[in-house]
Amino acid sequence: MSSLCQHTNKKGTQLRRMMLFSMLGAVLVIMQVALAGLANIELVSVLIIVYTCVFGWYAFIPTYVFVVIQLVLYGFNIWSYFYIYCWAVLIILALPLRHIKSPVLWAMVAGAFGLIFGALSAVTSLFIGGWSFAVAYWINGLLFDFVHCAANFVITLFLYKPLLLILEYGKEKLRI
Amino acid sequence: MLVFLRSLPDHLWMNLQGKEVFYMKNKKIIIVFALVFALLIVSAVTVYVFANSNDADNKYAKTITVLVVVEGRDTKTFTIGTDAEFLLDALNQIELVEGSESIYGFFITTVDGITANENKQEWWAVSKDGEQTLTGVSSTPIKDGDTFELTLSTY
Repeated sequence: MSSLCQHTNKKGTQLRRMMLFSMLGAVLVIMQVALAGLANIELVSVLIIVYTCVFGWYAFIPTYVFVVIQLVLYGFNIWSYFYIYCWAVLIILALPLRHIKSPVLWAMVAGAFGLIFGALSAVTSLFIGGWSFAVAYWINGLLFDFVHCAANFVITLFLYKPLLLILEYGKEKLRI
Repeated sequence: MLVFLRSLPDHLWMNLQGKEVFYMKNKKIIIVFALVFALLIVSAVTVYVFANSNDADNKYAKTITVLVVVEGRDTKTFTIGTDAEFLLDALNQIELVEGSESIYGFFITTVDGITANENKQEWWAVSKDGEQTLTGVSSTPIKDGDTFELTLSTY
């Protein structure tokens, strides 16, 4: 009887986890679409950071739900490869620091990610036009990387704490 | 909002007030990361300043801006220093476009690695200051300070 209860509880937790992660993936899509018009000002970075702080490795699930929806919405082209790895870099960067709940630290992580965003996307350019094209592409977009860095820093500094709180509250309520 | 905050479990409410979780326990890690972050910024600024000073030395006759607009994606901006007379030659300088010659001139099929999908009736529209150009990309003249948009459109 107790084993049956445990099994049911485990299934229930898995179901709630699946639902929550799908929803969190959808939140990323909505935020990306909503702010697509503002060059390099986005909420995806801070959300993925908070997902990583709260769910650890599980943050890959909503992130790749988001990536797959992006591919379905906009189709697969050479730049899709960039989307496949760029958010994984952020999660991997955030994982070892996830137990430190300092908004200043996370603002710096998000800022640094914004700053290297162009360099990360230049990796894709490397396969299109070789080294010279990749370097030219990176340097050409550096000004936008500075904007991305500053925007990520400010957004994360102010939103990290409330978002973390909401997600931890939800995690606790849903017993995940 | 206040009601929601008050309804939080005690430890989460304390978190919000900065009493439990949001303390600077890991000061050393934060300081190291701050140094790495500062180093990253200084390096990026140095590269940017160096690259732009080189551009100034080259003294191209014209500098144009090209925006690549794809719905749902961030608009990308390219600044091209050039002596070219027509837009296509300037775009080719940074290998931004691919395409083929047609009886109407050069027809763009790919911009910045994104290929227009004919099955979805997509094509790359060229406009200048928001208005579609009347000439093909290979015969559109450019002058210093021009801004062109390459927009993935449907017909």
